Amino acid sequence: MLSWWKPIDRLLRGELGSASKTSEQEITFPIGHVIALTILLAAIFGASIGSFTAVSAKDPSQGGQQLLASTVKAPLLFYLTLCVTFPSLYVFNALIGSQLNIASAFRLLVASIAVIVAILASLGPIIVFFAFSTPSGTDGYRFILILIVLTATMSGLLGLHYLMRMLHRHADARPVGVASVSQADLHETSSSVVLAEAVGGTAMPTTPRDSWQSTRSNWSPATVIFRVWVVVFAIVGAQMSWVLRPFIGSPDREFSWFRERSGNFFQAVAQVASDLLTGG
Amino acid sequence: MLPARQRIAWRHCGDFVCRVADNILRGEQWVSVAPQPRSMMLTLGLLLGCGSCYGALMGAYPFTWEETRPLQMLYSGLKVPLLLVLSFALSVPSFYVANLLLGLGNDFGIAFRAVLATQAALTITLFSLAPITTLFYISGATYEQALMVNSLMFGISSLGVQPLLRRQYRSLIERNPWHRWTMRVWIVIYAFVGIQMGWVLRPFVGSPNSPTQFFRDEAWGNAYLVVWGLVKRVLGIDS
Repeated sequence: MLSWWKPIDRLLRGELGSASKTSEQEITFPIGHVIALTILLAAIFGASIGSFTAVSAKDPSQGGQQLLASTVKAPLLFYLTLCVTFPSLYVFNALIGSQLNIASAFRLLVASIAVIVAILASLGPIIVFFAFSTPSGTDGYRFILILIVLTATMSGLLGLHYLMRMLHRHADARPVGVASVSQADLHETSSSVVLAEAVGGTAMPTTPRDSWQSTRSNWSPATVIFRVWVVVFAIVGAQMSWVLRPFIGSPDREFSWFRERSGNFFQAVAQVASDLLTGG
Repeated sequence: MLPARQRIAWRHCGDFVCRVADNILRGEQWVSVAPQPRSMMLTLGLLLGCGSCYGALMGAYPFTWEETRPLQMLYSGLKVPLLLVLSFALSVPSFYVANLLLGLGNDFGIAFRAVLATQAALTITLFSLAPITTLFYISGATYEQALMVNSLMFGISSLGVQPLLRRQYRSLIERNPWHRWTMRVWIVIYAFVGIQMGWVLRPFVGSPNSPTQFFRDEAWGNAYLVVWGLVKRVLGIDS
């Protein structure tokens, strides 16, 4: 019965390849099915953030329009970000000589988006609950906005962490004999384990299969390039959400599909946060 | 006086309920062994039953024959289980995704039972604190004191079940240390949702001066914004 959910479930567990294939570099999941599911999940998230205006707008038709707009725009946000960032991911990926081909790189990015929207959709019920129970004044709007920005940031970070981990697993998955592990790298890994022990109290099990649970902190050029790229992805995603705004819809303003092009995401969030803190 | 056979049946039934409650509180049978449907249902029953009993007691303020309102008791008896069940239901999807993401999907059944049993233990603890609340009510607490006593009881039982949650998670954490993080995620999300849910479902005690209502008109609001407003007023940064 739940077989339609299975692909996302497998992705979240970090299983990207089909069980029959033994090659680690192959990323083979049903891409069409997963894209359809991510669009559905993103729409659920969009509807839950649009629900604040739908509840609080004085004019019901305006609330309905905002709900529809948010539902449509949320999947758009993720796939436009994908279109903007995919070329550079692929080029970087090829530059550092990883084993991923273009189809696999695309699937990897779709998988990361699936992770992000799955987290967001799972937080959807909580956001709807807060949207329903928060009064529709200016402070309420700011609270919802900060709540959504925080949840989106958290899910984005987790999704990108997932991407890094999968890149490590799939792009670095060369035969052991070929992989040149320098002495310095080894030293660094062991010292980071010691550090983790000192900080966290327990050492994480270092299974080679799952680097999520033992994120290696090596600073090879490949890793640095990917880290820079992940930062680029995050900034593009944030700015894309700014271009596509409004998602929540301010209760004081008329409904519009898009707002005038001005400012940027980070400036605006800082402004709202300081307004909420100082009551400005 | 009941016939002998019925008496025995009732005693057996009581023993069984006590045994299940005891198992829940000690955190036995829940984590490693899949529980039987009967004890699972009974756990849910205990959760709802104990929650309603405590809720009814909360609504019984000021606990005198003349002034106690049966309607408020009924409302509060419904609202406490509602509070627990709704907060739980809203937090489960995120907990599920967090488990999958950290690679703990195969243990989700166990983790789910662990948090459910903790939830049941919370209501049993609350139920066990009922006599103390009653004592305060009888000794003539004011409305504000009644509110404070009840918040204290909720606080005590929430803190009291923490060791149980940890105990139930111990074997999971031994299997995979990342379970510690999903447990923390659960606590944070559940507390975040639960506080707001408690705020929205007010009044639980019901001020004797205002009419008895299921929901209060002005209750619809955001607990965090209210607290923040208080902080701003105290610090004098109100605009």
